[in-house]
Amino acid sequence: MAQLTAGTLPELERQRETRRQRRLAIGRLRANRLAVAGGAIILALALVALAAPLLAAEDQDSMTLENQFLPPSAEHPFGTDDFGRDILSRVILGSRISLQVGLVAVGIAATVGTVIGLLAGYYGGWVDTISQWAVDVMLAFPGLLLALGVVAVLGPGLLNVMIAVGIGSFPGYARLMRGQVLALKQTEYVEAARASGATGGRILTRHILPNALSPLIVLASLGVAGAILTAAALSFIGLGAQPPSPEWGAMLSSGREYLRREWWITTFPGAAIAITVLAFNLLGDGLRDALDPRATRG
Amino acid sequence: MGNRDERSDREQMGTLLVAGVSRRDLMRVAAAMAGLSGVAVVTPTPSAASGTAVGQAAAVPARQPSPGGQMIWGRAGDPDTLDPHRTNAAVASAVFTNIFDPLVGRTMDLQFEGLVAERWEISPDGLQYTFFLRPGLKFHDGTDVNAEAVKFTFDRLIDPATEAESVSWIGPLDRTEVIDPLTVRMVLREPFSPFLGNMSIAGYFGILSPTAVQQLGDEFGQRPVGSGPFRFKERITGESVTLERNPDYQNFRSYVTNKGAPYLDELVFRNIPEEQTMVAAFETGEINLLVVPPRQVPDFEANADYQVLRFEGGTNIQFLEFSMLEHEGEFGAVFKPPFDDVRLRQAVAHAINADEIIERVLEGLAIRNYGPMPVSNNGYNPEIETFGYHYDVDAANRLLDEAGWVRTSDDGPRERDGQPLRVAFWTWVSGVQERVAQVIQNQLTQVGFQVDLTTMEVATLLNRLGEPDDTSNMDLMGWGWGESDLLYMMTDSGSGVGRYQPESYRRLVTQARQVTDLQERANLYFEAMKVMLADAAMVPLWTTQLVTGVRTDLQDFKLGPQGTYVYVDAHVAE
Repeated sequence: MAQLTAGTLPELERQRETRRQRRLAIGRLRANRLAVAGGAIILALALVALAAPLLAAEDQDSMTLENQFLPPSAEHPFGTDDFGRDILSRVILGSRISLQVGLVAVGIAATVGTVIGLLAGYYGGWVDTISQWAVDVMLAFPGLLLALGVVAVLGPGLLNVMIAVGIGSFPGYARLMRGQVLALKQTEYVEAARASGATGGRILTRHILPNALSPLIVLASLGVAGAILTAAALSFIGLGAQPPSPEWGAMLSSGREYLRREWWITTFPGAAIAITVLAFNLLGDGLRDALDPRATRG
Repeated sequence: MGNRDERSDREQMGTLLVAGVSRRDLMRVAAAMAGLSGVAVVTPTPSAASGTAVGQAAAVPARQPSPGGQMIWGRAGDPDTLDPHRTNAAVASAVFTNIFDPLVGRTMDLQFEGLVAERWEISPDGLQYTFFLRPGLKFHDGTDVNAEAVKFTFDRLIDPATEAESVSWIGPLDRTEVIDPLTVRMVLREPFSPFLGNMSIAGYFGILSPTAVQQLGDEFGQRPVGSGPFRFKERITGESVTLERNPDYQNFRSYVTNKGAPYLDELVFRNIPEEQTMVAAFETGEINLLVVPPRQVPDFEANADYQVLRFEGGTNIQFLEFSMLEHEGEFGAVFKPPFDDVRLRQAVAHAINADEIIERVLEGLAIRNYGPMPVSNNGYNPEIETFGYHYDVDAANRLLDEAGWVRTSDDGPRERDGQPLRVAFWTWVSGVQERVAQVIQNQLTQVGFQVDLTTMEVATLLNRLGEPDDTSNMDLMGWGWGESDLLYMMTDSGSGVGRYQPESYRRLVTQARQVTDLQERANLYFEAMKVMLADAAMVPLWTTQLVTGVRTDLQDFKLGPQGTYVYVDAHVAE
C-alpha cells in the first residue's frame, strides 16, 4: 500500500497541477481579444468550408463567358473573373482547399516531426545523432525552397503540395519535440514511472507526449498559417492546384494580369488568404501566451 | 526577276520560335507565343498593308530625319545565342534578322526582291539557282560580301556537324558552287518549290562573315557579324541585347523610305518576362515597343501617346492535337486511347466553341480557321469550313453516345464499361494559352469528358511530348510558318499531329513540295486538309493576330511585308 501511494502521489499532484494550468490557460486565452477574434474567424471559416457546396451559388465547373469581368454587384458580391465565374462562390469553395491543405500539411509535419523528436530525445545516442543531423540539414534550407524541390520531384498538384509542405516543415516539430523530451525526461514523475517499471513506449505516450503538447499546439497553429501561405505561393507559380480548382493562390495568379482594371479578381482571394493566415497567427500567438506559464501576466 | 511562282506565300515564321529548345518541333509553339506572327494581308501598297497607326502624324516629314535615339523592345525572353544556324528561338531570330541580310527578301506585295543578290536565275528543271550578288557590299567587320561568303554560309548550314535545325527548311540543297566572285550557284537534289520562300525568311538564311566565324568559332553566336542594317554592340545575359547603326548600310528593300543607314543609334531588346511589368515599363517610357496584351488593346488605342499597329492576318495556326503512339502498324491504331475512336476526336471538335473563345478570351484578335493552313499562307481557302467542325454540342453528345460512352450520373463524366471518360490535357505556361485551355476544358466537361489540365514550361512541354513519359491524351499547340510547306512540316515531327502520316495525306503534301504552280499547290493542300479533317487528326482553331504598340516619341516605325518590324525608317519625333 505504501508502495502504491509513493508511486501515485507525484502523478496525482501532476494531474491536479495540469488541470489548474489548463484552467489558467483557457482563462488567459479568453482574455486575449485578438486570439478570440482569430479563433472566431477560424471557426467561421471552418463552418463555411463545411457548408461550401450549399453556400456557393455556382459550382466550380460553371463558366459563363458572357458574364466575364463584372464588377462587384448585388448579384455577384465579389464580381466575376475572366471566365465569368462568380468570385464569391470560388472564394467559398476555395476555403475548403486552403483549410484542407493547411491541416493536412501540418498534420504530416507534426506527426513525422513528433515521432522523430520523441525518439531522438528519449533514446539519445545514435538515434539522436542521425535524426538531428538530418534535421539540421533540412533546417538549412528555407521551407519554401524545400517544398519547391519536393514538388519538382513529385510533380504539380494539390496532394503533392500538401506532402511537400509537410516534408518542408517537419524539422521544426522534430527539434521542438526533442527539446521538450529532454526537459521532461528529468522530471520526477517520469522518473517515478520509470522506477515503477513502465516501458519506454508507455512513458513516451502517456507521460511525456501529453505534457509536451502545449508548444506543439502553438507551433502547429502558426504552422497552418505558414502552410496555407506556402501552398498558395506554389499554386501561384503553377505548381499547386491545377485549373479549374478555386484555390486562392491560383485565383490570385490568374487574376494578376487584370490587376489594373479588374481589381476584384485578385482582391477577394487575396483578402481571403490574408484574413485566414492572420486568424491562425493571432490564435497561435494567443495560445503561446496562454500555454506558456512563464508568460503569465500580472 | 526570278521565280515568281510563290509570290503569294508569306514567310515569316522564324521569329516565332521558342527560346532555348533544340528540338525541331520547337517551332510549333511559335505562333501562340507573343512573338511576331502577324503578316500583312495581300495589299498592293505599303501604307495599306501596314495597318492602322493610331495617333501617328499624318504628314511625312519632307526633310531627312536626324540620326539618334533608341528603340527599346520589351519582350519575354533572352536568346542564348545569336548564331542563326544554332537556334530556332523566336527571341533570337527577332534580333539577328537585323544583323544578317539574306540573298533574297520580299516586297510589300510578297514578291521576291534581291537583297544581297541583285538578281537570280532558276534552271528550267528547278534544280539550279544562280544568284548574282551586288558588288561592293561589306560585312560589319569590313570584309567583302562575295560568292565565297555565300558558299561558306550555306556549306556551314548544311554541314551535319553544325546541327542547324533550319537545314530542313531549304530541303534538298546539295551544294553551293562559286562561279565567280559575285556569282554563286546552288544545286538541289530534287525540285523544291518552297526554296526561295523559306530562304527569304530573313535572318535564318542571312549571309555570315566567314572571317568572323573562323576567328570566333563557337563565340560567333555571342558576337555575330553580318551585313545587315544594324551591327552587334553588346549583350547582357538574361537582360538585354543591344545593336547599333551600321553607318555604311545600303538598303535595297523596296518598301523602306530610308535607303541608307538607320536613323536610330541603337536597337535594344530588353527581357521583361512579366506582362504587366512590361506594360508598366512602356507607360513610363522605359521601353518604347511591345506586343500589346489583348486585354490592353482598347487602352492603348485610346491613348494619344501610343501608336497601335495591327495586322489583319497571320501565318500561324492554333489547334488542339491528340497524342499519338509511335506508328508501327496500320494507321488508325496509333491514336492513344480513348481517342483511337475517330468519333471521340470528332466529338471534341464539335464541343469546342472557338468563336466564343476568340471573342471573350482573345478579345477578337484571332481569325477562326477551320483548317490547318494559316490565314495568310498560300493555299488558305475559307471554303475549308465546309469540311471542318462547327460548334455543335448535340453532335458531340450523339457521337459520344454512339461510341458507347454514356452518362451514368448528372454531373460525373461519361463512362464505358465502368471506366470514366477521363483525358489528360497539356499546354504550356502563358496567360492567354492557359486561359484558352481552361475554357476548352470547361467546354469538354459540358459534353461529359473529365479533363485534367496540366500546364508546364514550354521547353518542358516540348521535351516531354511524344516521349515515354508523355501521359497526355491531347494538347493545345500552335505552329507558325509562312510557307505552305507547313502542312508537310507539322506532320513530320515526333509528337501529336507530327506522327499523323497516313499514305493518303503524305502523298499530297509531298507532291506539293515539287509543284511550282501556285494554284496546283493550293489544290493539293486543300485535298490534304480534307483528309486530315475527315480523320479529325487535330482540331484547328484559329490564326492569332498581333497588335504592336509604339510610343509616339518614335515616328515611322513600320510593319514590313511579312509582318516583321521595320526599324530603318524609325526616328525620334521632332
